[in-house]
Amino acid sequence: MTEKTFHIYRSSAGSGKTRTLAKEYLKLALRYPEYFRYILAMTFTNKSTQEMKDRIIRYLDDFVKGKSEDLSAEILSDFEKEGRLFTPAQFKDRSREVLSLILHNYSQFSVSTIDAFFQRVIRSFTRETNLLGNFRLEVDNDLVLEEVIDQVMDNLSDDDELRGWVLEFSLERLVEGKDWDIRAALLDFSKEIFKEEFKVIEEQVLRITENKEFFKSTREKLQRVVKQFENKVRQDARNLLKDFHAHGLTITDFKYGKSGSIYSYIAGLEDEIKPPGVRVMGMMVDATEWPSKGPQASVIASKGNQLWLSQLASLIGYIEKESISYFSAEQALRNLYVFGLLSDISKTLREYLRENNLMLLSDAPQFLQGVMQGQDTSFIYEKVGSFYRHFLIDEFQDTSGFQWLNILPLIKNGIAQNYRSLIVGDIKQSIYRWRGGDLNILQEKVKQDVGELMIDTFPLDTNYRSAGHVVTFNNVLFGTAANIISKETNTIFPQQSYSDAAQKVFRHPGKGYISIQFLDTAEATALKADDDEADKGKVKFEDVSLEKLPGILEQLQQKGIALRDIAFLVRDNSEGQMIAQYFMQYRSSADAKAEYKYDVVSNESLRLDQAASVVVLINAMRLLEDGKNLIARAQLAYEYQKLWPQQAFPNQHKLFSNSKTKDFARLVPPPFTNQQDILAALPLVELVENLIHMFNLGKLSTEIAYLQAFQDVVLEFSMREKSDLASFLQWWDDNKHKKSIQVAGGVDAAQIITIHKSKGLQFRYVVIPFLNWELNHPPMKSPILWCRSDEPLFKDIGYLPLKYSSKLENTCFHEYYTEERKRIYLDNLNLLYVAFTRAEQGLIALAPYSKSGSINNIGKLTERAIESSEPLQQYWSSGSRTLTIGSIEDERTEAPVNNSLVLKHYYITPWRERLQIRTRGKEFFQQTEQRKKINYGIFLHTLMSRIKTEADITVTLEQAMKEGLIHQDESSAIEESVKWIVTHPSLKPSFTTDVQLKREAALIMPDGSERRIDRITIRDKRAILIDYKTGAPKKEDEHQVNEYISILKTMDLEEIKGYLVYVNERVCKTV
Amino acid sequence: MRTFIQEIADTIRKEYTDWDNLTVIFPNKRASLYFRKALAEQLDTPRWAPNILSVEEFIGSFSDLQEADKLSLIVSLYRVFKRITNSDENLDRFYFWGEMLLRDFDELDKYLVNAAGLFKDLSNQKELDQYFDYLTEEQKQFLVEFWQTIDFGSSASKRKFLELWQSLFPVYIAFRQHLMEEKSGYSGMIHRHVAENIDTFVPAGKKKEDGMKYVFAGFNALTSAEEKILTWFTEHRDARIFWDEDAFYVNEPHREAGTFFRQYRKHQVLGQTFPPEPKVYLGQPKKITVLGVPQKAGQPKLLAQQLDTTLRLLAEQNIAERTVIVLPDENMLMSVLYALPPSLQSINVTMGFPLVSTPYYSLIDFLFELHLHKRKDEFYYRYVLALLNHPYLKARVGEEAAQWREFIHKNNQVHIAPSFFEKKHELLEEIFRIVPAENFLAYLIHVVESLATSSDAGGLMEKEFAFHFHRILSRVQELTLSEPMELRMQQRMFRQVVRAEKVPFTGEPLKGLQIMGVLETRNLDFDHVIILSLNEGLWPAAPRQGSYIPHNIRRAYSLPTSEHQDAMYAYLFYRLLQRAEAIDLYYNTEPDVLGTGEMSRYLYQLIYETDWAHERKILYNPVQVHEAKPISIEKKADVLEKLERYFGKALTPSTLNTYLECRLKFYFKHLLEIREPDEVEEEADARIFGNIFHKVMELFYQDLRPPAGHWAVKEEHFINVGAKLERFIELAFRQHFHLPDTKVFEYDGRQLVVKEMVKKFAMKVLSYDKAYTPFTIELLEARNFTTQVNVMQRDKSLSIVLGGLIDRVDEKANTVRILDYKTGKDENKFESIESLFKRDPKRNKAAFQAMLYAWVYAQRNTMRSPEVKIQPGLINRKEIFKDDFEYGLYLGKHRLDDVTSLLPEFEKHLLILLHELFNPTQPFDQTDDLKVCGFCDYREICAR
Ligand code: SF4
Repeated sequence: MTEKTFHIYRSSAGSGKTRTLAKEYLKLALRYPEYFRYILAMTFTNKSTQEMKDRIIRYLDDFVKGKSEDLSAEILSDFEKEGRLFTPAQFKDRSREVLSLILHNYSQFSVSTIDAFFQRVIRSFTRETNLLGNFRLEVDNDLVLEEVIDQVMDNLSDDDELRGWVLEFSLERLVEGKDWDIRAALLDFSKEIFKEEFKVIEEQVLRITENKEFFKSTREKLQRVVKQFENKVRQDARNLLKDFHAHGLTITDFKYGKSGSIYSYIAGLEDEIKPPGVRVMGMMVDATEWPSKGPQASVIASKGNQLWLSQLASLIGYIEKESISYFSAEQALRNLYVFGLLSDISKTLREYLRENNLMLLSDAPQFLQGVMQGQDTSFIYEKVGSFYRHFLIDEFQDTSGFQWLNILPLIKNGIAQNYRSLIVGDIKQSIYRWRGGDLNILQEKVKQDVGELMIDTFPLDTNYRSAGHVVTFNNVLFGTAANIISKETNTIFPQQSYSDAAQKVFRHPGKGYISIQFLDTAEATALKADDDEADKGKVKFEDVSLEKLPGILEQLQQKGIALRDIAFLVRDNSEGQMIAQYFMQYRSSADAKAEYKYDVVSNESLRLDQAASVVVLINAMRLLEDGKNLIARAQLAYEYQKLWPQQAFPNQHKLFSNSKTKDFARLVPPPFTNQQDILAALPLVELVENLIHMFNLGKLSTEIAYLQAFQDVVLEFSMREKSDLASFLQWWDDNKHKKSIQVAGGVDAAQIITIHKSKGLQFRYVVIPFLNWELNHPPMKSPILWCRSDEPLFKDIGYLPLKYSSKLENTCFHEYYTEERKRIYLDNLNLLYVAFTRAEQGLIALAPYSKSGSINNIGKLTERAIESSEPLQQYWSSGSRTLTIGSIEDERTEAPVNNSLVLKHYYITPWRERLQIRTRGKEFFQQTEQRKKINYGIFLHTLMSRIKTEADITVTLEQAMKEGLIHQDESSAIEESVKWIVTHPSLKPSFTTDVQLKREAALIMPDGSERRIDRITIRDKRAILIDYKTGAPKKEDEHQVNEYISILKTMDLEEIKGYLVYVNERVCKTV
Repeated sequence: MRTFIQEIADTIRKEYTDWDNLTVIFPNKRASLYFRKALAEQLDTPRWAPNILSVEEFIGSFSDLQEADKLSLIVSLYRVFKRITNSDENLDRFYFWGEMLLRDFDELDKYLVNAAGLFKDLSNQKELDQYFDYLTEEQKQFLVEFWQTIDFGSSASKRKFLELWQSLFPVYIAFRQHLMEEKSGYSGMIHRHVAENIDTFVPAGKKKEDGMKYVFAGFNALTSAEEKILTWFTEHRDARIFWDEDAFYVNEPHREAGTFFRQYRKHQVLGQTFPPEPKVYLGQPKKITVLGVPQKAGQPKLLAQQLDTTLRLLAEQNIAERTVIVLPDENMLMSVLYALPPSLQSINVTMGFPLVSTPYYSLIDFLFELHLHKRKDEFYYRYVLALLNHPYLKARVGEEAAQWREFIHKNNQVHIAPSFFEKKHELLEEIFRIVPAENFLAYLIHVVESLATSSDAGGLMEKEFAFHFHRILSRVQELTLSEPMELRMQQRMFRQVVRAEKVPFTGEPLKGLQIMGVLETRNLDFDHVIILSLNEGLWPAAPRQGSYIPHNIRRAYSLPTSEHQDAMYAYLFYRLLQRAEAIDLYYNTEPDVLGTGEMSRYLYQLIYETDWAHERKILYNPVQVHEAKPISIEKKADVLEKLERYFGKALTPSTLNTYLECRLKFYFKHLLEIREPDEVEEEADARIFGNIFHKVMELFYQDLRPPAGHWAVKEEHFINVGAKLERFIELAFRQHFHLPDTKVFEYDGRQLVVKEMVKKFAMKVLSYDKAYTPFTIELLEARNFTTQVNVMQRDKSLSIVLGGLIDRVDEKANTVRILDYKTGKDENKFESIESLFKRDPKRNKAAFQAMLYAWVYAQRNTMRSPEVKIQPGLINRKEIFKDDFEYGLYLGKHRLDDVTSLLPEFEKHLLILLHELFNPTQPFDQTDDLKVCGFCDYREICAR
């Protein structure tokens, strides 16, 4: 069989990717009973790993039970094609066998995230890679970065060069009027070093910049180029101008004056050197073109053609020839501090990680690269303990370069032995470039690396998610939009990736709803001006759009669509907040209609830090940290009184003003004020439990979900190296905005979710309120591009960081600029694709209408795409500027039934009342007149139980030291005590060899109880009983020994002598 | 149902009479307790219990080698390793690797592996067969797979692997020899020693004739050494073995839980100790519930709810005693302890209280940090504050601790010398002193002793913690004496050791509800079994990490692999279910960041493989979206009174700005003065830039002030500005950080950055000033730049002081400039006077302030000549570096040379504003502009 062994599935939104992957997995796994051990399926998110495992097991179970017949039929027919013949009964048996093998060899059932797999490999190579084996994996880059920046700041004292960079960085901010907090600014800026673009070249950068002189000499070199060029150009320009002036000429004597005359071009060179524009170039043939119609025209014309024209031509020639170097050097210089800072921060980060034995999860692929290089795969498998032949990789468009490089040798190894592997991906849904996802790999690199001959490509071209109209609309729209982007950015990339986008309809052909409306803000402004003369401000698109949203919700509800089936997709959280706030106000306004609901829910609105119970807890904690924190006092009193109003709830003013005074104590539960010391000494987890208890928060059933989530946060935090209260509060303040309860489908409210988060999800109706994001990078958020050039000037510098800006167009780094521009356009197009394809039934979007022709934002792109798509014309209404396809259909969905349990009460009982820890410390540290004394005797029981006779003393003590039971300093004191016991005249008979000895002897009693006797020796039915005590003599001790004796008397012994030995007091008491 | 242990007790009572010569051996210690209790159950008189041992004790009793503790083993191994490999690795980095190596040695001894063969380097051998004639074909195959399919020699990591591999056998030999000489060993070494010499250790005698009887019970995954010893006793002594098995997993070859029993059943000797058929417990009706809970914290709470119901339903008293809660994730212990319903009276916990959770841990860790972060023998304030705030110190030092904290805050004491604490408090003096690394542990021990003996505060718990830390620190100290370590390393060592330590709980071990870890459930049975965190990675535990012996070599030498571990955990799981009647299995429904930690395989097995009846539930708590309640403070009598009293002070422009931004903010901040506590301002702080800048400008002009007469500023004053600024900046820094004159001042790095920025800004401002010379200064940083107005409040007329601190007023040729430095992001332009009072996000606060001061100036100088132009000006950091910068305000596009004509309108609006402030019907309410809230200290109260 000459089947190609590497399969690429090009998927599209809603094309049943998971099912395909599961099916391929099963086709491999069902070949032979144990074969699943050789398959590694990789997914990108932890949720999808779980889903995949579930799916595979469930399908197998279905096959055993004769369910999922369509899938089993597909597999059987594929098997038949491969020449594997199964009867249905055999198939069932095989499924059962595989299922049970998987379940009982579950560790070999390899469905995992790429990260998890990498971790496994790294862990098995720790020794060879000089990693400390117990390195901690840190997922939070920011957390580490904070520490690193602090260290960088600390280093400023000793490192002049570094200080120079920081200074340059700060001064730039000072001059530009930006926020003046270097630490925060540096933090933000330093995120660059986590990007894969940097990681790829990090080592190179670090190596080159290691040279102490590097930056100095680079700066000098570049400055020389800049200076030389500027001097030459300015000198020539000045000379020309001088000559003009000498002839009495001024700017007004030249045609076009300030706007593009020969004069102004030359004069302008003083400020900024740039190549001449078209206008100037047009006048470079004949100087009679130069003058305006004035008295001097002839002078200019004649002198010009005689001399100036050729002088200027040579100057322009020089500029054109040399400007690329000049602009390049200038850009490089401008960003040199960026270079210096980043290389320094990256260096510090490396050191920090090593010092603290940490690995960043995001570093793993890069790190693994080092391990994998030149490694043969069998050694890797050997170390890992698994051997894979087949690889199934999901969401391949999000794979990063490093990830691919790491997996490639393994895949190739499989392919070489004729084992099939496959990847599934969709370039159109590649929206995670900022996390390292590189769609180029799927698009191009796979072919190069695996070899085109090995590859078969299959499209997954049926849409199982969306209704007919949605599918066909998207087919048309994205086909056109991709073309437009291709033209705009002068690349065929998007066109290619969208060319196979046309999907077949599966669900509800001819049904579904699309509405895309373009809103005219000028119109809205005019309207507004009518009703309120004073407010002349221009109305923003966002406001116009927001006003439309309640109507949309009403319209949908009218058709019976439940709120939970509606999602608002937004670009970022701030847009989400805007919507949430709008609805909040709308709900209580006069416009709200009683028959409709306007509830919306977002991660943001379920934030923990806004839950009343969490506010109480956090402020209580703040007060334990600093009782003088007046804001915390006010807030705690206020929240607590809101939750549990006292009989006479003070008015707000009283409450706030009392919170400052000692009356505060009456506004919170009394234990909180009088048990501060106890609370402050509790570990975090316990502290929170106690506070919940004290403030009675568990009784608030609506708060339970928040309490639970908050306690999870606390539990997780308490696993850290530093988990004291102050660290927690600090961390909380920095991170609280990220913590919220996950939105669950059970809430009956429309969801607000970002497009990025919506990937992989689907909703019946999708509303996109702000279809207006920029296609290019916004200027304030220009990314840093790592560029290099083979120009002699830059050859030795290697990669240097330059800010993305159109200025780069005139440099030798222009390719990086145009490449990035293509990419960002494509990113934004993809974002639109993800957003539009989330809808099952309906898609509603609002975009700004603008007259301008340039395609710079996604709304304009959509508009243009609709305009130029013939099939969409019939749906377009130019009056309302709306595209409408289909209609909203009546549907009433039932709320899903579930088998859920609810916490009715949040149980908390402080355990210290019920349980104690063992205490020996009291005896160990004794308070006596001499202030303090350390009691070494408390291990005496253990030691004495090992001693049969005097001869055992030395060995026993040595041993105890080895075990760490006693400390060298203590041994002589202890030895003395032991000797004293063993040689005591009354006790001595017990420490001989000719007796029957029981140590720590257990007496069991008919009532099921038990007594332990330290030492008892018996000879001829005569017994000696010894009980050691390390504390001071007590009456109970005697009772105890007496009890032993009376028990022993019932046990066939004739004479029993009991001794109580008080070791510290050196007292031996006969009982 | 009789438990396994009860069954054995029954047998012993029935079949053994001489308990003095009976030894009963269990896999672990806990079983002994239960066993003694079971034995006592049907006794008529007191009796001596038989000799009951754990297998560890039993084996140990035959050897004269003593087991050493891990720390000293690792140090010994470290020394041996260093000597043999000439490595220069320090102990700290070696520690983890040492642990791993120790584990490998332990294992290969327990499995009686031929170490010489195992560690042989066969990478260059063509004929492998000859080397392992003692292995089976299958085992050889594994070795061949390892040595032959790998092409050694190419990559760096392979070279490193081999290098180490070659050294392992010599290390192994030397290490064991060293221990032998000391008559100590690690557990595996002792086991091997006994197993290989059992004939000589236990004097040969004819079977059963020495009268000693042995009973082994409850064993499963035996090591080779154990297997050998058990076999020997079965063959040569009067010994019996009781296995605890179930047909469910023994009879089904694919069920990993039965792996070992299937093996032993085929064993020549051990096989005979099995009954012909295993018992059948699993599959009989039980009440099984599977409960999914998102995350961790909810599990104990749900458990409590369920348990409470059960306890209520079955009022039977000792139901709790027959209930066990198993915690595969030990970190859940505290959450479980807190959740248990109050109706449960007694609880027994077999795990301990983790020492890392104690205040001593944080205290000692702070001490490490304090010393690690000191600079030039001064402590960094953060750690000083943290320590002063530590509950143990607070309890002993008392109120004074708070006072010093405050002092440090108020005076910006970033670096604090030990002398600060001299003679202040004995304990603090002891803590805040400079200690060299080699004495550091002695210092820590001393601190612990002082704390533990200094008072009874905290009670027994605290003493107990102190006790444990005292032991640990002494151990680490012993190490540092022989292996000197830097502070950082000592800290890591300390952390490593503490992390493994727990303080045991007391309790009646056999009474009440039992809470255990997975391993402790061995041999025990309960009617009601509750398991939390039944997730992959917890139960079964994550594949144990760290062996240097590659997979195939392990397989070749029959060393345990991950399958072995899986089989063991599976057995523990199913065995625990065998005799139970009710079973609750909780799992976390959320996988972890790596996507691992999903629902445990046992749950998959239960759901998809068994036909056991069970119920599945998910915890889902409804959430409510919270809505902020508005806050609005009515101006009732008490508020008005407060307001009137407040106006003893001046109403400053910034206060008015606050009021305009948000009335409630004004109320909180100015009326109630609910403010954030002081904080030490560090060098990189944005605030400090402003403070230092203002101070520097003041110093510069103050310096020019003549003793009397006109305060004229001339061009020549600006010679050498740079040097002057240097001097003033230093002075400003000194004042800011309250440094005594005696102390030399040296900028640290952050300060240098601030300094340069201040200088740059100041130079720029002064260059404009220079161009403006000559001029005269009227006022400089004047604090009482105020005036009064009367406002009617109800029936009273109140006199209100307006104004505040003005940065500079200067004069030149009839132009009076009223200048304010702005280091933030302010603008010079405003739309209209009205706009300055309009509550709008775009309101220009700085312009409002400038206008207000202009108005104050006019009020104060009513007698001025009509010629005089009043020109308020902002010196904005944001504008001044622009090329077209000009002083002054812009009204729309017009620069204001003189604002005199605007002042009446300004005054009109100002009075309206003041009126509103006192208007009883206007409450202090919240702003509509959420941007204001974004930077407001009260946004949490407002929930904005
Ligand atoms: S948070 Fe907003 S509403 Fe509340 S006081 Fe501050 S500014 Fe006013």
